[in-house]
Amino acid sequence: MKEIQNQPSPQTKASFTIFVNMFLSLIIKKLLDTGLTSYKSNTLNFYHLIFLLSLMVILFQSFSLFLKVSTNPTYTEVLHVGIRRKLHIPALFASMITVFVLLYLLADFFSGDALTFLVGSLALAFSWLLFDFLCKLVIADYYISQSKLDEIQNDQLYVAVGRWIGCDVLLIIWSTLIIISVHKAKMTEIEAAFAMLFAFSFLTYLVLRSVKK
Amino acid sequence: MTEALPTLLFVAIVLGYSLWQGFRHESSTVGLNGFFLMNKSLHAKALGTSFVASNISVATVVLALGVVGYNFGFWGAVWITICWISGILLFAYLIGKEPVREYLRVGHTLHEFIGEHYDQPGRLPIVRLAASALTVIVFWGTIGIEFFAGFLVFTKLGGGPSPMLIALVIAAVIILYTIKGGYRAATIADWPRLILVCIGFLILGVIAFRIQQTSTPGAEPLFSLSSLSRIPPVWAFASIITLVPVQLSGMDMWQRCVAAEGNISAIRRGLFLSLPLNLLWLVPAYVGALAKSLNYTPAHVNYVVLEILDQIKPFIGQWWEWIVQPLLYGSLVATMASTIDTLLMSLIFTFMYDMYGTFKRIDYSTLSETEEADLVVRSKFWTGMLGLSSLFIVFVGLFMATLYDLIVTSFALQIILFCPVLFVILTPKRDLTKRRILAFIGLAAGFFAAIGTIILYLTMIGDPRVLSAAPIAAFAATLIFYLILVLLSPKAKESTTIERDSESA
Repeated sequence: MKEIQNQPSPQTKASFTIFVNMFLSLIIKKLLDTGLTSYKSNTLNFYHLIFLLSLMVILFQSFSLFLKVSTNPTYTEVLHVGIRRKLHIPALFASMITVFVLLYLLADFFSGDALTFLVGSLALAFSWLLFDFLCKLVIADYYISQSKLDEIQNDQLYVAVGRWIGCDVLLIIWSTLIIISVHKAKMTEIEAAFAMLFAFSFLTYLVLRSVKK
Repeated sequence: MTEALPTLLFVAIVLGYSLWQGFRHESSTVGLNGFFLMNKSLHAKALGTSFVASNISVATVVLALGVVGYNFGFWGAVWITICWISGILLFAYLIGKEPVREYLRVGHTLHEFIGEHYDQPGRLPIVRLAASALTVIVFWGTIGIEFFAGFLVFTKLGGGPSPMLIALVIAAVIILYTIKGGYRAATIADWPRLILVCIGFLILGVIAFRIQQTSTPGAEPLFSLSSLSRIPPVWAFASIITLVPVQLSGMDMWQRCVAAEGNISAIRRGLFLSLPLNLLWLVPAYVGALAKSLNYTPAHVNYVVLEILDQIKPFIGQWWEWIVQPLLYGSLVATMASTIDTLLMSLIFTFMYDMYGTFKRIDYSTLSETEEADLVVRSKFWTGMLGLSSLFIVFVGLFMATLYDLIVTSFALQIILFCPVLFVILTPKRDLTKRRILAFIGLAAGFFAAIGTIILYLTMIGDPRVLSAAPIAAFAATLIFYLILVLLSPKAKESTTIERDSESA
């Protein structure tokens, strides 16, 4: 880790933060718009409110995670090195965009039927998996290029991303099982949506816990 | 909704109490010893209450024993209880034998003990890993079974929210307080919950007795010795094979003993003091047997106790909504919590200590404070992950197997570890490490014998005798390989425990 002493430039940090903020604001705005429209058209019921609130919580938690990672010196150094590497910038940003677009679509779908919400969640879980996997590759690639692969286990971000991949896999299995249950009429749509939100919230809690304070 | 409100409130109090215990003991989980073993300060009474509370599970005792009572009569349940108590006595006797006695004082897990005697030092500990994998599969599955049982129980709560939603909330609370408070929260919180469980079982027993007194007796005798003929011999034999070895092969028991610092007299005192409480097992079986005796035909025989709960309401009147139902459901939730938190702690202890530690090559005896704190964070993360993922079993229950099938499968797999431990005790003068491949194959053979039999039952045959044969097949397959292993093993030069002691000295 001693090799990674160069601090990210203010421009890199600022652009990264603006990028995430922009999408988060967009999603929150979309959520509020949808909630307001549903309210005006008298289609907003108790379950919609729960969905809305839960999604907001998930988004704020995601943002909190981003802050935790981006403001921690250990992580920003590695992130900076990873982002700076030309070959990986497109891949990283493309997967981030996919994640946020899917979040946006998820927010759009929440007032529709629960099955759409579930399918959206499954797609989101897949994109998170892709994103985390790429992050892990980027960090590993850096250590390989420095011929310090034996030190990689001391890298907090590398370890944390490994745990997030576990969460993503769990979320994918969970979403798939719930979708099958709804399809086979073993669960109602409302139960399925709650089960999905439960998994989202619980895994987000675990991910937040796993990040070094 | 109003009908279910007092029950939901009472359930919330039970969960709130557990959560409070978790947060209260969070400070004691800074180190691995604190998180997994409550700093080895478990005393006899807490050990006894924790043992009984965690073994009266909703799935095995409340639901499965109801089925036993219904299918095989009250004496079938008595037979199961006798086998269970014999298992406790056998365990209490064997832990006094070397090398188990010494190991419990200085060791950590059941699989470490197995690995010490079957794996060769300096090589990949395949026997330890295989044994750990078995425990992880069994405990993970059992936690899921318990969640599934919780889901089933709340399907009978009329006027309440969706049972899936309640099951998820209960799961979240149990996992959360276990993450926070570790083994201390899982153990210390048990005695008030056990009191509640006892009250719930007594209420159920009294109501069943009242129903028996006020109903016309059916053709099926309830307590008559002639009903002994209803017990199938294969099932009776399978009960011995399953319930007698289950304590010695259960990681939860080993964790308790290690947490009590291997103090054999305290462990025995705790187990013997709590022995009479195991008779509570007979209450659900009595309810099941009574249902059969009164010619009641349940819609689903596996959930006969739950259906009887539905039938009880008219006998109680107004007290049902405000007192009886809240107490019964509260005690069921307390039962679930006591079982799941203990299993979850044993599962995560095995996972972190035997599997994660082996693969990551962690030497737990030389950890710095920072490394230990980091491992506690990792342990808590995996507690959440494994706890949450065990809910997958709920889906398996929804799609394929019944609760009873799942319980038999988990027991059949758990008893596989009995033979490795038993042969270490019986053959102290043999060097078993020379035949480690055979030890590994023995465990694998037991696993495949059990799973193969269950698959055969579920997909092709469907005869209940085949289901009962699963533990017998698992036990027999393991026994054969371990007998061959012992016969082929040369004599040992020195005891492993003595070696370890001299090294640490």
